[in-house]
Amino acid sequence: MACVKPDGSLTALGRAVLEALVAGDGGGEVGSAAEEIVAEAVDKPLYLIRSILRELAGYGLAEPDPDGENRHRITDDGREKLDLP
Amino acid sequence: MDPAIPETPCMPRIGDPAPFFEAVTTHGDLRLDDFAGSWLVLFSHPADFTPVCTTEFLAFAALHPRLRERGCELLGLSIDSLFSHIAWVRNIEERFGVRITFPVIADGSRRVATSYGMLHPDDGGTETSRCVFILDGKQILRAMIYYPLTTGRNTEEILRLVVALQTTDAHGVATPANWEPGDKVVVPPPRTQDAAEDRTATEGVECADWYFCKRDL
Repeated sequence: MACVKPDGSLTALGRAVLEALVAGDGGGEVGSAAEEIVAEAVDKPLYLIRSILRELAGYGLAEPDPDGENRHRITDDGREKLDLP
Repeated sequence: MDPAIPETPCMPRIGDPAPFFEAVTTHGDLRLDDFAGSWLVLFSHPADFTPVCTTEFLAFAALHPRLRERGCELLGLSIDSLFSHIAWVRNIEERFGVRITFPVIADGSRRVATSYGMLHPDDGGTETSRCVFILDGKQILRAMIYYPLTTGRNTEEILRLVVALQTTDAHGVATPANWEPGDKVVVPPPRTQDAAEDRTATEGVECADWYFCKRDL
């Protein structure tokens, strides 16, 4: 279940996961969320969210949040992909 | 030979940490630790587009939401290609109206199958046999079941086993033959002579003898 299409644009799930990171969960810095909160926000199982976050990290669009275990944050490239300032 | 594949088949044992894997699946690339914190039923089937396996996939699809209610995920595996898996699950949905909601590993290299001892050449040749591995949230192998190619699995028994193991963990008890949720559970036998004398007098415990006691949960 890829997060980025061959043309470089985000899949619906890739976009939803990045948007869930942007929404955050109040537990860390802005643009950061725990895996469980992301899974709940996009209504997908946790194992799939972990896989998608790993893939997004591979594209440089998200990264593990050093402020907390099992937390990820969106990168500047990720924000750009969502057309966010 | 691929050095990542053991030359002699591994047969993991109950209580072992589950062998790590990273695999291509119908839900993308998944690793064992993606399932950490959840219970997991990992099962193999011999081949896509075969009748017994199709009946099993229909049964596993029905089981999946009931496992999820118990905090347990489901993951299939065979040595067929990813595209075969995709075509088969689409075919099942078209022909039987049942959506396959769990991921299926495409283990063409047999790397995962070998590390879990799913290949039984005298039964299945190069195909995986009908194996079931139950892992807890710490990814310890808690139970294994093996069926031959000819015999479809009983998914109610798989659910019963998951529930029994979770009951054991939650309450420190064992479960008797043919136990079902709501039945009495077995109290572990006393470890000392004094405890044996106390046991038969313990309130709420039914004892046929000092070593054979049951109670309600």
